[in-house]
Amino acid sequence: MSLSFRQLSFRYFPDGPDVISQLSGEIPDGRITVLAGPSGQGKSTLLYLTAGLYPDAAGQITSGQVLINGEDPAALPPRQRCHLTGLLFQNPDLQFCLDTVENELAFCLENLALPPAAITAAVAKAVDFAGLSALRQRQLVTLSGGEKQRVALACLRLLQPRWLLLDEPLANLDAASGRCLLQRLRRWQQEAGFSVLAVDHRIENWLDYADELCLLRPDGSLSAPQPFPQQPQERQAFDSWLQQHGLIVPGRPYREQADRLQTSVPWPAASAAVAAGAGMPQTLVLQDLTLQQGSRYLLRQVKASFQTGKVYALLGPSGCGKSTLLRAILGLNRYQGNIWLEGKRLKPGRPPRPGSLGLITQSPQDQFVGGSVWEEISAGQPDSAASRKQAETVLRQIRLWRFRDLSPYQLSQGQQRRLGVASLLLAPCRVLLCDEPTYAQDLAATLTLMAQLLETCRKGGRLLIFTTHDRRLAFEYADEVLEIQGETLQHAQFES
Amino acid sequence: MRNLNPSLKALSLLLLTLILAALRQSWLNLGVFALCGLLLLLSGVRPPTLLLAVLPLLLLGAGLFFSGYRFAAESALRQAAATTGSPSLPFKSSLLTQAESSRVSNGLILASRVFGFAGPGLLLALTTDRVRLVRSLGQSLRLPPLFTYGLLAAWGMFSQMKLEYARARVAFRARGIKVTPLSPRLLRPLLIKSVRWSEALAMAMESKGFEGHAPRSSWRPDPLRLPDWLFLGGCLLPAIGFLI
Repeated sequence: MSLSFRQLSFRYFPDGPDVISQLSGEIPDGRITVLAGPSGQGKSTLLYLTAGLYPDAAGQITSGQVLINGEDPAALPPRQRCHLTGLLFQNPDLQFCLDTVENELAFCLENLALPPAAITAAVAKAVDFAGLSALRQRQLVTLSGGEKQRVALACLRLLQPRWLLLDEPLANLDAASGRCLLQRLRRWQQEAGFSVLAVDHRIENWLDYADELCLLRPDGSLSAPQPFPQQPQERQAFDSWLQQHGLIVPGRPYREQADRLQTSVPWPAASAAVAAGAGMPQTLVLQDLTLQQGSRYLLRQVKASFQTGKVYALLGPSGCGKSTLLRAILGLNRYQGNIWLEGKRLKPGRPPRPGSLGLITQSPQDQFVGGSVWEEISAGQPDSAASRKQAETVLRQIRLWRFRDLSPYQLSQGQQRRLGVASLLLAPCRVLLCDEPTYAQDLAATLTLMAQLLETCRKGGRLLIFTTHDRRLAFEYADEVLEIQGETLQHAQFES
Repeated sequence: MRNLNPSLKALSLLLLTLILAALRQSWLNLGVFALCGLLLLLSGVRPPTLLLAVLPLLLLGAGLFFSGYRFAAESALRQAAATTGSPSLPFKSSLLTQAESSRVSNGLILASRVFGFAGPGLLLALTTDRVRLVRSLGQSLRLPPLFTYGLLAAWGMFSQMKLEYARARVAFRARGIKVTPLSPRLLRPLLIKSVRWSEALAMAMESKGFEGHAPRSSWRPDPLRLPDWLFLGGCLLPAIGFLI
């Protein structure tokens, strides 16, 4: 039951450019295939087309078709299609209809008109598979991004599709949770023999689990499948292939990979004074901070201080409270204890004064304020020729200049992330909080984004705190790496 | 109360409020409110929660009482003047007594209606699980899944709106832009988001095999039982009593 694309062209708007152009190729059946490529190349769109959701929900196919074993998935009614293809969406917040974990899981099987006893048994198995026993009764809105992805995977387990389509499935998971999920997925795939097509920039996640790697090239063509290394001696050739195609090479320092990229990316270093912490004011201070989610403690009596001009990385397993801590600082979450910003105590649950704190959110859509890409980048800027020139330069740097008249919501997730980061860099705030800034980014975009963040922090005298699941990224880019462990915030150790 | 079929419970309470609207009996309105309060307490609703819900009702009730009181007095006086032309003093005094009684009665009816309507509303809201209600609408009232699950998805989105509103304000603040609480600039991202959410949710539901008009099963069926019908009968009692 192979998946093939025949001269496929797709566009979102009748008079817009083709997002996918004359794509032909085949993805092998019964294997786990990873699809990589530059951000904004149409990988997610390709998954939506394969899932049969497009062009019914958006856009139009201008030529060609997608076929699974000779059948067009878009032509099937949803109830039949869900046995053929199942999609795990990139944004975990936008894929649930019901309130609790078990209600959402039951919803999938109610759609198939299964009897209640069969639903109960199947839900129990899916909960075990995804490790959701403790979360079964929990409200979905209270789950972390990683936990939501596990629920979504459990839904797919219930529907048993022949083709499992995963759109950045590990982007919200820490390394341990990601490994745990992939082990389960691999075991299930070997038992059931279905096919998996996963879009992911982080090849290292799949080294022990995937069979093949396909590349959606910058010219829009699909490469022949490249087998994942099975033996240690095959690894070098595989790494060379990744490097040749501009993909993130597993286990290799970002600094080294930046040096090898044709487009040189600056790596702003901290000055000696900043590195030593001498004379720098404590911009942000957490004093006996306690954070709770419902009755569960995320942080208890935490003390920490953050200096202007320094970059801090915040690590921790999925759901440990990294994003909640950032939201508390922004006045979106209540807390006990004190948070001091530039010498002033913030009021719990009340936002600080405008222009003092900037947030780059996990979902970039949460921070958009403009109606177009141009409006977004220039919002809050003075209306002057110099500002306009600066905005244009930034848009060209982040490869979004040609999309300046589009709505930010029409961009791909990766492009939205780049726009969100760039917009905040132009804003006047002295403290920048970034929630997973490199989420769903390719190597070039990751390096560019981090370089921009570092440069703004170093030159602009700002404090930068970013959360990430990528330990290597944290230790290479941050001056100090903190980790939430067991309700405390402590300095992290690099365990590669 | 929590075990009753949610659809029939909602329907019964709706009928009860319609009956109360048709009858001008303050004691009946207050009696229904007291009964609803009792049922809420018996259903495990905490007294502080109930008190918190009743406080605004007291204010609203007081306001309506005085409105009704004033309106009735003027009307009674106009009626008295029209009937007698130039009345003698004792006759006028008797009319004024009647007017006083009428305005108190009118004020009480209006004020008690607030409680009469709020009681069944609170009873439904505080003792009903929304997912069960929506599922039951499909099972018991045969409403199409497209409507019921659309309602549920919209409900879920609505509850997220408060958080999204706060996030939008933070986004503007981060860019140094001051916005008023109801600024169109602030509401535009919310509007766009709600449209995009509904599109994304529709796709997610479809990818899970959901079809708007196809038959589906119920994991936790909510059949109609004797207590549901007894509750409906109980809600119709005021109308039956009035007819008798």
